[in-house]
Amino acid sequence: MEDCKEAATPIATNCLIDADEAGNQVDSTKYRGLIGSLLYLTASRPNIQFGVFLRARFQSNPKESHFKAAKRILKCLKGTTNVGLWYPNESNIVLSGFSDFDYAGCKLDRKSTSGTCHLLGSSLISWNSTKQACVALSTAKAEYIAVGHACA
Amino acid sequence: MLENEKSSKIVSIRSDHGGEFQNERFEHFCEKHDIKHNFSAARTPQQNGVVERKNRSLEELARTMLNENSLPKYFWADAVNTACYVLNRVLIRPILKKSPYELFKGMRPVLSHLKVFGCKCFILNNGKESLVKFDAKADEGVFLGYATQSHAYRAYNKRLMTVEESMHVVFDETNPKLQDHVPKIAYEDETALEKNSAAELESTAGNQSTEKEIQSTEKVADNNLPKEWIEPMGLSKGNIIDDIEQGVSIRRKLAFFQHVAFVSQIEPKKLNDALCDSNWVVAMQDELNQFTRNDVWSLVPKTNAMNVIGTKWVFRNKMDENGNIVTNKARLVAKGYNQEEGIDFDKTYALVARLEAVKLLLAYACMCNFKLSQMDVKSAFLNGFFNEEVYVSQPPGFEDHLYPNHVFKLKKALYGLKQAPRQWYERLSNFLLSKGYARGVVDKTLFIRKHASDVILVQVYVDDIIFGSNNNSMREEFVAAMQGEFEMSMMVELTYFLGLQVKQLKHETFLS
Repeated sequence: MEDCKEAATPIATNCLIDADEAGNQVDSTKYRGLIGSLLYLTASRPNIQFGVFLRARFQSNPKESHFKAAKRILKCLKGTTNVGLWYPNESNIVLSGFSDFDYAGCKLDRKSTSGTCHLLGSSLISWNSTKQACVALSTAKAEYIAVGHACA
Repeated sequence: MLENEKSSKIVSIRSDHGGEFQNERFEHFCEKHDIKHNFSAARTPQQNGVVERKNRSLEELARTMLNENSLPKYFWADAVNTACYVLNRVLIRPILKKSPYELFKGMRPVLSHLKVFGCKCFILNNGKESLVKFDAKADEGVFLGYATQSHAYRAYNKRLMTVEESMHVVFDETNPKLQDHVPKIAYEDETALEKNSAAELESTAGNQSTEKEIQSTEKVADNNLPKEWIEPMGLSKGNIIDDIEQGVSIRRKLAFFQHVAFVSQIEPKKLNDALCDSNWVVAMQDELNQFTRNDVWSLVPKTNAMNVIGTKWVFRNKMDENGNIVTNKARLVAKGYNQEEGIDFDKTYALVARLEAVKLLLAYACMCNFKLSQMDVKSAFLNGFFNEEVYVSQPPGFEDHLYPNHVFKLKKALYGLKQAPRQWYERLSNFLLSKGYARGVVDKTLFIRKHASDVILVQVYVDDIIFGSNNNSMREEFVAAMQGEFEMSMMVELTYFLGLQVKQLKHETFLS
């Protein structure tokens, strides 16, 4: 992995990750170890948050396609070693929170995924991406759940 | 000899203008054998490149071989010979894939007789001197190489102070000096005076320090090569080697390690491995000293009613942000899994700062234009006070030999105990509250103290504390208070916290 190509994004645009029942089994311990390390990294890297949580859903039965997709995050990390969070000095101390969701983003159980972030002035201080716990029947409901996440 | 062996003739020899080549006898010899002798132009060693390059490799090998074993420099000839001998047999020519020996002789060299240059060896007397029944049969010596004319080893006999060639030599190739010879020099200098006054009266002049002696012999050697053996030998040359052999006392070694901050690169898995490594013994001793300083425990006789909790050592190497090992940390931990709820502990929940809170503090500090600092409480958990009666066994490897059956009654918490983090938080928060700090309403690990428009913020992450203030005197007051109450280590600008690299610039903060 050390001399792999760099990738600009942690996830391919046309990437449709599903359970991949027919795929080849990979070592689940290794896969979980990889996901665990990536989860730790999400504490300082908001850009891989969604990608990692997406991969993390397949830990119980990881297939080769999942492992390959997880390695894409590593490629992305390699390309972005020089970036980090930037906290500028400014007088505007306003806490603002944002939330969004993708309606029925998970093709397996049709649950939506919400993403939230909080900024103090223009400094990003917290972020999150979670699959919602229940199936939202309308976009409005998914929106409400996402906002609820942001305020919790 | 070369001509006979290869049945071909030497046609020409190239050399520089050195006196050993350019003299009448050599000229005669060349004339007699019809050999052309051409010289490289004066002061132009480049024309003799192959030889000069080889010479350099040999000299460098010989230099390291001598220094490795702290041998006196007048053994240089043997060192060069041995280097050449070994290289000819070992070095594989890259294209031909054969060693020079094989190319020349057409058969593969035997390597089983090669020994470590300068190693200790024992030369059997083998009838060359008459021995009384209980005399030593062998003399100690230093291995110097291989005899050129006979199938034998060359070794320097320390008792007779001569170089011998013998086949009856036993080698000890372990090298005790590898570790010892660095502190050796300091040791020599320090104790030169003591030594002079005491046992070594017979050669006071020659024995000021090893270094000087070697230098003086070198001078002799330069002037008068063949004689260098006899004269200095008579003084105390034997002593140099003897002294170097003896190594250094353990106590001195410890002192040395503390000064140079020498660290072990490995983390031992077992206690016995650690006890063999002096760096780790120092680390363990350090930890126990910490215990005594903090008044953690007292020795009490064991009774049957006690639930004694075992202890064990955990060894960790601490790294800086670049991944270099900076310290060896030995930590004595209690086996907390043996604790029983209700007897040994009550509540175990401890508050820890959320990472969001840390980031919030960083952003806020940047906006308010003050720098954050970080400090770390040494053995933080050992500061937590204890409500329960808890007994632990003595640390393995450091048992009190007077009272081997006693156990320690804890007065303060120990790493590994279930309530240790809670007790520490309790202790720290009580201390800060008593100093006039207010605990955060939502985030209970944030402590704030306001004074007019000045404010100091203290965020506690177990034993790591980040703090910052827009007023310098408040900062210093806090630091002084903390240092008065706890044993603190390093008080630095925040650069590396919980795996986050923080760069605090004038108008911005960068996190990665």
